[in-house]
Amino acid sequence: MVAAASVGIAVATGFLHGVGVRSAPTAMLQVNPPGVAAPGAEVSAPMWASAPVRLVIPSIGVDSGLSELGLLPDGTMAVPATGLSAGWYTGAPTPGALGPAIIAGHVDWNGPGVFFELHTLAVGAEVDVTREDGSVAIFRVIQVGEYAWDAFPTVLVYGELNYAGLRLITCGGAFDATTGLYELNVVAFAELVGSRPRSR
Amino acid sequence: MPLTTSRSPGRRARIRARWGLSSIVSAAILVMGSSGASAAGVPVPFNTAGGFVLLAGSGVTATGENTLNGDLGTFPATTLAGTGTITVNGSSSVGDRIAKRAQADAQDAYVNAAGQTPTTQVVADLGGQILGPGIYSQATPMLVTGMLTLDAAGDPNAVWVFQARSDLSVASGSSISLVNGAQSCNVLWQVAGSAELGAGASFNGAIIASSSVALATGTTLVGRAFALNGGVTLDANTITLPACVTAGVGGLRAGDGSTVRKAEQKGGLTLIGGVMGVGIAVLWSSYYVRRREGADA
Repeated sequence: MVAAASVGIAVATGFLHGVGVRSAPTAMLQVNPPGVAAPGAEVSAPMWASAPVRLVIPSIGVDSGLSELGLLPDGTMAVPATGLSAGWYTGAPTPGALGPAIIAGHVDWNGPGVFFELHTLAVGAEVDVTREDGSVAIFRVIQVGEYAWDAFPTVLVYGELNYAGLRLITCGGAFDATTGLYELNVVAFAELVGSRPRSR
Repeated sequence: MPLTTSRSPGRRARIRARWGLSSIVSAAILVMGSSGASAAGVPVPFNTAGGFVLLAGSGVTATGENTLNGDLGTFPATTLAGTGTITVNGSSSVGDRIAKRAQADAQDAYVNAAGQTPTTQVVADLGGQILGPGIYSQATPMLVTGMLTLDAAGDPNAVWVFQARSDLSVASGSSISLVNGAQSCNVLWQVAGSAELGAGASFNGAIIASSSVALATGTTLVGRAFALNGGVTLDANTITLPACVTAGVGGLRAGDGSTVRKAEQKGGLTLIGGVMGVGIAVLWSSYYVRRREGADA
């Protein structure tokens, strides 16, 4: 016999709040990157896990569906098969849920790619991710950095967070025509500041 | 005892993704080789137990206000006792098929953790130590008094497996410090006896105890409290399911450089035009000279 007094549907209350206010550094080339800015006071409680289906960044005109990106056999993250559509990394939490969600996109592909303007993204800019369950996770950019490709900030990008974060990644800097590769990675770090429930 | 629950059906999809990648990660770890005193641990799969922050065999006893950020399950007992409350931000499976399967998967995770080798023997209190990833085993009661630092040295995929062949005792006010990429989801405490976390402790990792798990007043846990056969005791605690990330190697090098290439091609055309211009000028001038010479004849 079940001894519980009552079981009901309850709205999850906020259980994680960021503390403090931090200033927002501008993008710059970093070889030994400092820590990512701590979450601001407006950070919102994490949402449930739900696969992302659409990414909108109004300030730089991004409106893209999202494919799934896994790990390649050599341990690197897969990249989207097309240039004009971004992808989300399935080895990280779904955007909106606790932890560092990761979305990657090409900077160019027979012309500008989906993240061609990512390096111009301003701190404070809004990033919206619509999820499979219809809800929308609303993020705000807290830092944009450029990192040499052989000094990729692994811990900053993949490291454990106690809030819902998002990393947008693309290539940047000079293109080396002899290797066919870019010299830098551009990473925009964002935090969850709100959500919109699924609309009927 | 009041129990409030909210649903989270989406969590299971994410756990499947984590499980599917673990074999790739373990292969990568074997290829990269070991760093530090002990060979790196291998991620322990949780399967259907993946979404749970609390699993009890003989029931749950709660005092004060407790919050579970993840799923709660008890099997085979259905007892939820005590004067306290438990707010479950997740689903609640009390004595049902889901909890039964989760307990079976938790048992498999326990066996997996207990069997990992090679091990480094722990001889002293873990408090005050700094440990790299590895498999740490102790036949006498395992103690954490003070702060234990787990240093991943920049590898977010680093795994720690603690094999407590007896009991696990965490003193009041003790804590785990995760540095340089260490993730709570990659820390596992396999306890053959019972696990006790002292009051006000701040602990990390999945605790899977064959007997019982007791969290004293005000302790917080980022991880899991699984008691396979015994009960779980709560006292004004918060248990949060950690997000788990499988880190990729390196960054992105993609993009085809077409935007840059187009600019280079424009420059190339200009260069070719210049060469052609010079060539024409040379031809014309030599023609002009010949004509001039011819004209004199």
